[in-house]
This record gives sequence, C-alpha cells and structure tokens, in this order.
Amino acid sequence: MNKWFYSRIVKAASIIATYVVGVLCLLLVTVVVYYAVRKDGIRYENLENFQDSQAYADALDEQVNGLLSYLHTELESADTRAGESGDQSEGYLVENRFLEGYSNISYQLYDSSGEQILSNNSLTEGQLMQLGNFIILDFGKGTVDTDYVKNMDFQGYPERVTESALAGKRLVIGVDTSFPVRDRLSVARDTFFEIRDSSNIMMTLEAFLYAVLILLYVHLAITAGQREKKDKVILRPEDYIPLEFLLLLGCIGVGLFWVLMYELIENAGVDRFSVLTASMPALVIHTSIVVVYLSIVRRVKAKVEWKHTLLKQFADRIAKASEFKNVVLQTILTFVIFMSVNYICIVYGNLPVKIILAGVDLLMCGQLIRWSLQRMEMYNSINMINRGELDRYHLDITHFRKGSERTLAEAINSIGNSFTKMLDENTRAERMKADLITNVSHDIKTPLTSIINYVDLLKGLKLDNDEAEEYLRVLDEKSQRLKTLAEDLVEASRISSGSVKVELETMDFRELLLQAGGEFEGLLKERELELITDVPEGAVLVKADRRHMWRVVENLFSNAAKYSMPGTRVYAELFPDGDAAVFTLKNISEQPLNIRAEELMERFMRADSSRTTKGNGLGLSIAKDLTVLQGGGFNILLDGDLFKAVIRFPMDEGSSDTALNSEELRENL
Amino acid sequence: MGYEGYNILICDDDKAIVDAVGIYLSGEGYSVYKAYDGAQVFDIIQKEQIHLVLLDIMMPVMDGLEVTKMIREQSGIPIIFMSAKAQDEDKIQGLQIGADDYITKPFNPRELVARVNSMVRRYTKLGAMPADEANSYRTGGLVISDDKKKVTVDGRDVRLTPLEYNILLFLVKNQGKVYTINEIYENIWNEEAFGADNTVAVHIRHIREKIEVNPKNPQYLKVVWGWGYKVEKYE
Repeated sequence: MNKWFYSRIVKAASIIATYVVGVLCLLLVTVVVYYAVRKDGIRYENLENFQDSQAYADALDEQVNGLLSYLHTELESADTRAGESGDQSEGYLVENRFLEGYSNISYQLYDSSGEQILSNNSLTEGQLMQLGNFIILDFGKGTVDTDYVKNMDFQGYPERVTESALAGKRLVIGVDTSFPVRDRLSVARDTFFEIRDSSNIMMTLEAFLYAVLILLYVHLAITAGQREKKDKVILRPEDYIPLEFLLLLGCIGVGLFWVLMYELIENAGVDRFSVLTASMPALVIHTSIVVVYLSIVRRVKAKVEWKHTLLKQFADRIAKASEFKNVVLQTILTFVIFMSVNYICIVYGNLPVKIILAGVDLLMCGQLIRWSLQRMEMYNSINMINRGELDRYHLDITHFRKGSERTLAEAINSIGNSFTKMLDENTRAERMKADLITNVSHDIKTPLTSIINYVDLLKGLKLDNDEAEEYLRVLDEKSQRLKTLAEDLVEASRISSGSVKVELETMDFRELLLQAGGEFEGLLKERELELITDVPEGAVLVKADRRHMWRVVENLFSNAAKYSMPGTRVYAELFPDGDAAVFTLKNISEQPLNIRAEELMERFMRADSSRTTKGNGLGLSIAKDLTVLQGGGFNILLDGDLFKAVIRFPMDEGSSDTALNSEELRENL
Repeated sequence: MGYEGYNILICDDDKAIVDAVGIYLSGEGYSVYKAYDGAQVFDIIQKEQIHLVLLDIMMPVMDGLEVTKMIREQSGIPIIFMSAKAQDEDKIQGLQIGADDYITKPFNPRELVARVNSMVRRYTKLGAMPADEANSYRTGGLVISDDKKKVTVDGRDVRLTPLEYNILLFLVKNQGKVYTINEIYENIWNEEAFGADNTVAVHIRHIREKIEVNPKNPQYLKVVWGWGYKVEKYE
C-alpha cells in the first residue's frame, strides 16, 4: 500500500478522534464549570472539610428553611387541629423529615416563657449545642447565635417570622456533623467527598484531553488541504463561501455552546442522563467549529485568506465603480463607510473594540498624512520642472505604493527627463547653429579678402580699357556687398542665439542723435538730403547699451541716406511720451514701398523685392533685435512712400544731469 | 615716403593674401618677407632684422596667438593681427596677448598699408618726436605744437581749419576725458550752447577723417555714443 493511502487513513482517524475528543472536552468543560459554580467541590485549595464548603452551606440553608416552615405548619395545625386537617400530604412529608432518628438536625422550640413546645429529641440544650454546629434563633429578641460563621446570613430568619406563629419563640438547632443519619445533609456530604476525590482525576483527565485536542487541531491544520500527489493546497467547497459567513457560523456555534452549558448548569443539573443528551448538540456544535477552523487554515495556507470574503468583494465593487464613475462618489463612499464604522463601534462597541477602533483611526490618519506628503512631493517636483530647475526634481519611486501612485510618480520623472533632454538638445542645436554660422562666415571671409585685394590691385593697374574698368567696378561693388553681408550674418546669428553681451548704462539719447547727424552729414549732403532734427533742450537719459544703440541708429540713418528720394527731407525727432523716450526717423522712399512693415523686418527682406539695389536686408532685422535686446521697442510704419522708424526706450529717471558731469565717470570711459 | 630699408614680415596660411599684401607693401618701398605658418615666422625673425610683423591668427602648426606670445618673450617688434574673427572678444584677446593692432578680414588694402606705415613711423626713428616744447601736447603719435599751430600724426602733417584745430587742441589738452557737444561748444565759442546744433559733431567728423587712418575705426578721436567725444590718452 502506498504512503498516501496510509496518510489518508491517518487523516480520517484523526478527524474522527478530533470530533470525539472535542465533544468530550466540551462536556467536561460543562461539568467542571457546573461544579465550580454550584457545588464548590472543585477548588484549587482542595478542601478537607465538608463543613467548610459551599455545598454544606447550601444544604444547611435548605434544611433550616425547611425546618422553619415545618414548625410553622405544626404550630398552626395544632391551633386548628380541632377543625380542618390542613394539607395532610405536605405535613406528612415534612413530618417525616424532621422526626427523631430521621434527621441529623435536632431542634427544641421554646415559647416566650422558656417552656419547651416542640422537639424531636430528648437532649438538653447544652448537649444540643455540643453536637457539631448549633444555631439559636431567638425570635422574641430578634437575635441569632451560632458557631457556624460561614457564608450564611441568619439575620434574615428572625425578620421572616415576625408575623407568624413563631413570633416570640426561641428555637435551638443542633447539627450532628458526624451525620449518622442518612438525610439530605449526609447525602450532600457524600456527594462532596465523591466529587472532591474525583476532582483531581477529572482535572487531570481534562488537561489531558485538552492537550490531545490541541495536538489534533494542529495535526488537522498541517494536513489541511492536502491531497495525494498534489503540492498545492486544495480548497474545499466551503472555502469559497465568504469568510464572514463561516465566522458567523463559528460564532453561532460558540454561542450555542454557552447556551447549552447554561441550560445544563442552571436547569437540568449534571448527571449521567443529561450529559448523554447534551452530547448530540455538543457534537454538532463542535463539528461546526472544526469545519470553520479548518476552512480558515486552508485559506491561509493557500494564501487566499482575503480572496473569498465579503470585504474583498465589497472593495472590488468600489474599485470597479470608481474606475468608470467619478472620483467624488468613491470619496464620499469611503468617507461614509469610515464614519459609520466609527459611529457603530463607539456607540455600540465595548472597550476592546474601541481601542482597536482608535488604532485603526490612527492608522487612517497616518495614511492620510502619507498621502498628503506624497502629493506635496509630486507637486514640488512638477513645480521644479516648470521653473526649469532640472537638477533636483527626481522623485524616489519607492516612496510610492505600487499602483496608480507609483505610476504617477514615474510619469513625473519621465516628463522631467524628457524636458531636460529636450532642453539640452535645444541648447546644443542652437549653439551648433551659431557656431556653424560663425565658422562658415569666417571661411567665406578668407577668400573674400583675396577677391577684394586683387580687385583693388587690378584697379591700381590703371588698365587702359573702359570695359575692364567697368567690370572692375562691378566686382568691387559686389565683393564689398559680400563683405557686409558676411559681417551682418555673424552678428544676426549671435544676437538671435543670445551670445551678445548687453551692457546697460545711462546715456543721453539727444547727444547720440546729434552725433549721428554729424556722422552722416557728408553722406546726406551727397544725396541732396536735408536733415531736420527736432530734439528737446536738455538731456534725454535712457538706460541702454551705447554701442548697440549706435548700431541701431546708424542703421536707420544709413537706410534713410541710402533709400531716400534725393532732394527730400529726413526728419529726426526725439520726444518724451509718458515715461518713455521716443525717437522717430522719417523719410520719403525713392522706390515704391510695395511691402508690409512686418515683412520688411523679416530677415533678408527688402523694400525693393528685386534685390538689386545696394545694401543687404539684414540691417533692419539686426536693428530690431538689438533694440529689443536692450529692453526697448522697435516699430516700422509705412504710409505710401513715407517710411517711419519708431524706437521707444524707458527713460532713466534715477540719474540727473549731474551724473554725466562727474569727473570720475568722464575719465573712465 | 622713405620706407626703403624697412622689413615687413607677412604671415598667413593663404598664399594669395600674402602675395597681395606683399605687392602693396612693396609698392610703398618695404622689403617683404613671407611666411605661411608660425614656425616659419620664428625662423625668419631669428635670421633677419624685421621691423613689423603682419600675422594671421588661424594657422596650422602654430597659430598667431602662440607666435605672439613667444615673440614677446624676446622683443617688442610691432605686430599687427589680420583675422576674420571680428568680435570684440577676439580683438581684446589679441591685444592682450601682445599685438599692437588688429585688422579684420576682409580689409581695405589701403587701410592696411596706412596702418603699417603709421606703426612703422611710430616705432622707428622716422616718427621722431619733437623735443618737448612748452606748448606741445601729445598722445601716442598725435602731436600738436601750439606755438607753431602744427598737427602731426606719426610724423605726417595734418592740415586742419582753425575751428577744427581748436576743437582738437581742447580735447588733446584734456585727453582721456569725455565732453558733450554742448561742453565743447561752450569751451570753443565761449557762449551758451542752445538749440539742436550738430555743428560740433560735423567738425569732429572732419577732424577724424583727416587724422585717422580709418575714420570708421579711430585710434585717437573717439566717439562715446550718447555722451560725447574724447581723445584717447596714450603714452
């Protein structure tokens, strides 16, 4: 036979054994508890004396009560003996109990004068009190005198009989604690000793059974879910039932057990018959407990403890709902659940539940804090990316829980990375472009130098040939234009790639214009152009870069000189407008201006689209860029043949005339 | 003009440029030596007496800056850079290394020649400075003798109108300082300046054209745009 078969047998046997032992344990528990509660037979101190036990106290109490009512009946029936016979049956029974020789209790009843009325013995009062325990109840005085000081409140007795026939009488009770007669007291004594003697055995048996039970439970747990030849944990059908239901079943089982025990102890009493009848329900109860236990064990072994629970289904439903529905609903739902749980636990729960709840709430608080911190982290990161601080934005994704949070963090990192890369590439591309232009123009200038040189040499040869002279003139002109173009190209590219230094100083715009007028006087006169300058009396101070400003103004004046219709006037105006200084240069164009202002300022654009006249197209574009670079405004307005250039610069209020006159500044330029 | 006997060394890795410049300088009377890289420059300087070096910057083997550094360890021969690199940083760097002048390609050959002449005169006996007379003012190669009402630039006579002379004298006397148009006017005409008059500016322009090798790139009479004019202060 293979080992799996054996193991199956073992397993079956262990299950059966578990059930049996479990039932026994349950019942034993019942019995033990019963005696502990009712009979006081089992105590850790191991009583030697029956008289010290609760069983004796109870039995004695019952006897005394019985005696009192017997005496009561006797006295009353003596009064009415002549008449009714009363309840003979009851009197008969009671009579039998306390007759001489039938009870271990001996009594003598005296009336108020000290004369003995009733008695069941012929002993003296002194001898009565020597029997074992004595109790003297004086109903006239309302006192109690006894040597039994255990567990009994005899004071209650006199109060009970104030109105009855026993009033005013005196009762002396003696208890023969050797219990020679077989009565209820002696039976109680016998039972006490029986149980006491057997209690050790019972406790030992109980401990043994519990040990066995635990071992069986452990063994069951180990073998739970195993089948032959399979390594995985096999789940039984009941494992797919939501765990909450099984737990409920288990709780019901345990609850039923308490009920059963209560019934046995309080109402049925524990004897052989009741134990047998209790075994069936006990078996059922224990079966349910074992089933639930094993199911939990199997689930934990298969690591699916959360899988088949209502809680998980509920959570899944919420999660699914939130994927497609809006987040507000989910948040409200979560909040409501949380508040409800809190409310229920606080209002209806007991202390342990509340403590657990406090712990859960703290956890929740901690989680909220964590979420907020994470959000701040992400917020900061995005902010840094936004501001271009691309060295510190990186998020540590291990901070974020797997799932949507981590995905978001990774996405942010990814965005930052892409951004950085793009910026780097962009910068590199710009720089490469700028370098390329510089290098190319440099490479152009070298052969161009030779062209210009040799054209000049040819001119110097004074060739006696009109055509040759003309050709040379053309060569000279074009090569000069190439030169200007190459220089402008470099400058324009440097300006647009941002590698031009701007040194802003306070300068006098008015002075600049007068200087410009001086520079261009010759050229303007050549072309029969009259310059009309209109500037304020005092200095007009602006913050600008001197050399760039000159470049701009030079360009405008140069254009005016080159492109104006000969014989016309050129107007140069400078005036304040609010907190800005405005300079305008107006001239009449020789060629028609068949172009829009914006197009004119685009690089390489010229008013004369045939591009044959002298000069190149970069000038205006460079002028505009330079102006803007210094923080000024540059505008071109075209109206018919009128060409108007407008430059705005914020005036420099800070300094005054004195600044320009300081000797220090004067010498340091 | 008497530049015979003076030796100019031209160095550029572009042979055409060297030849062209050579022709111009020979026309002036100079003896021309040619080199095509930095190492050759060194050789020639050791062997011959060179009075001025025209040096390209971008050259193989040893570039112009290297050569200048090495030359400067031994002598103060005037060096003029020729380069297509025209940015201010390049010029400043060149002058700091030890060159005396910087001309950008493509250049006007005439201007190049004028500069060479200027520098030769200044650094040799040709441009002999007159004895320090009482009313004599000087900056670099620009000398004004107020007694004789004579202006010379590197030994070359310059003819100025009385007004131009007064303006230039004023600025040379206060060399290194900037004066606005109004200030110059008041100093010369002794009356308040008023109105938008660019007479001064025009005169300045004329002066520049007369005394400067390249008026567009003046060495002495400089424009401080947005402020005024000054004459540079040289040793």
